[in-house]
Amino acid sequence: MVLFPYNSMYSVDFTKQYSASAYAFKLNGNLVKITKNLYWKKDFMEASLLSFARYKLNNDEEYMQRYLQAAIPNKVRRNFLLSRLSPSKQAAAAWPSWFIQFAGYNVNDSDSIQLIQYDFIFLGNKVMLKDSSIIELSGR
Amino acid sequence: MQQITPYRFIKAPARLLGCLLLLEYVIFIFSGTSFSFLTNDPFFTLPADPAFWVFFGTGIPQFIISHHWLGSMLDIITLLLLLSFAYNPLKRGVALSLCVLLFIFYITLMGYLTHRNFQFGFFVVLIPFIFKKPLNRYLAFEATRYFLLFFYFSAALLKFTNNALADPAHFSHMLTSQFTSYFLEGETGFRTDLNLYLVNHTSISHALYIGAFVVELFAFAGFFTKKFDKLIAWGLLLFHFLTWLIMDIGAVGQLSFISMLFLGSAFLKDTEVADSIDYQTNTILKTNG
Repeated sequence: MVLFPYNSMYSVDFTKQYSASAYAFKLNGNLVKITKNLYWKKDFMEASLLSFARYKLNNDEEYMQRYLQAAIPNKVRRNFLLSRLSPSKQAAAAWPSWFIQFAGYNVNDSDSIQLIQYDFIFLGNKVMLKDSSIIELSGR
Repeated sequence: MQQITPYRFIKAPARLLGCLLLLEYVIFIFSGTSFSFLTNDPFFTLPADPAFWVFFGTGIPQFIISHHWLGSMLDIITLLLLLSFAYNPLKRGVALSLCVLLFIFYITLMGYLTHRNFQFGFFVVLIPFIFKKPLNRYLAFEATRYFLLFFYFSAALLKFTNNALADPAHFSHMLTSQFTSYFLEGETGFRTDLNLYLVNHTSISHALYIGAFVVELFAFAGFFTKKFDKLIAWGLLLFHFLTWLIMDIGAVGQLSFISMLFLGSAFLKDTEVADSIDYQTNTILKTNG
């Protein structure tokens, strides 16, 4: 609850590993950089990109869609709530271009956009790129 | 004879609080994340939180984000109201309007940020100022103060109940995901070096984690006495500075909220003065029949 002061941040270790992932867009093969922005914008871009990548990895579904499908059996009511409380597929398809423009780059219809997941591993005092994979962007 | 007026104790420190709040919003604007900068963002996801559902259900955030003129206008109105609040924090109409506007801003930003960010202090801090009578304002301050204390205490409590303190590698694991974007972009420096050092030295990072736990736990003392309020506030400000340094979590939206702990005695003195004036006025009225 936004109005209930419950704060569980960093109390659960989900991975129990010295590894991490990062997500980034590539525009015509070049990395779209976000970290030079001031704190709030960098945080906004990092967090929303992570959510979008998870949305794509979960077959274009996010939390509210799964929740409403499980919680509201009435189809009419559920579709009404879905239209209000979750982004449409068309809106999600337009988001990569919006994000890259928000990052300060120009995007044309002919440009190629890729969403990449980078996996890092921490060994000693070094961080190394272990793997990277392309996340499918459909409907653009 | 010096005339005693109510509000004399709270006005100056509350002005400073107003200036801090203004600064927080200016940082939102300069970062490029206020209403007007988010225009036409098509993607949002909501957390399991009815407060978000109500607002997004009515379509208010979506409407604001889809109209650049409206976002710009709301930014300007918010700035003007913040200036007015910093000049005179005791105008309850200004405080109430600001509280509502900043609450909508919080809901909108977090919906489009697509992450449940805990920096709600920038609208909660206004709650005491939406009351006119000093006693009501003081009681609202008390409620807000307990809200703040419980927020930080709950963080300590959940670290304890989730057994996070028992695992020496817990914080090192957490730190691995904090600077990955910087490593990816090659934007390394002191903070990324420190991150690597702490990931690699679990005993030091574990000691820091326990230190954070102690600071959060110390907020619990505030439930029994106000004697440590300033110490709790300094501890939390230091805690947030370190979370920015070590974890890249800048708690800009919490600064004025935490600073409210410095204002406890001013709220109380105002209430006492107002009470004594009420008492004297009533006595005079009774004496005069």
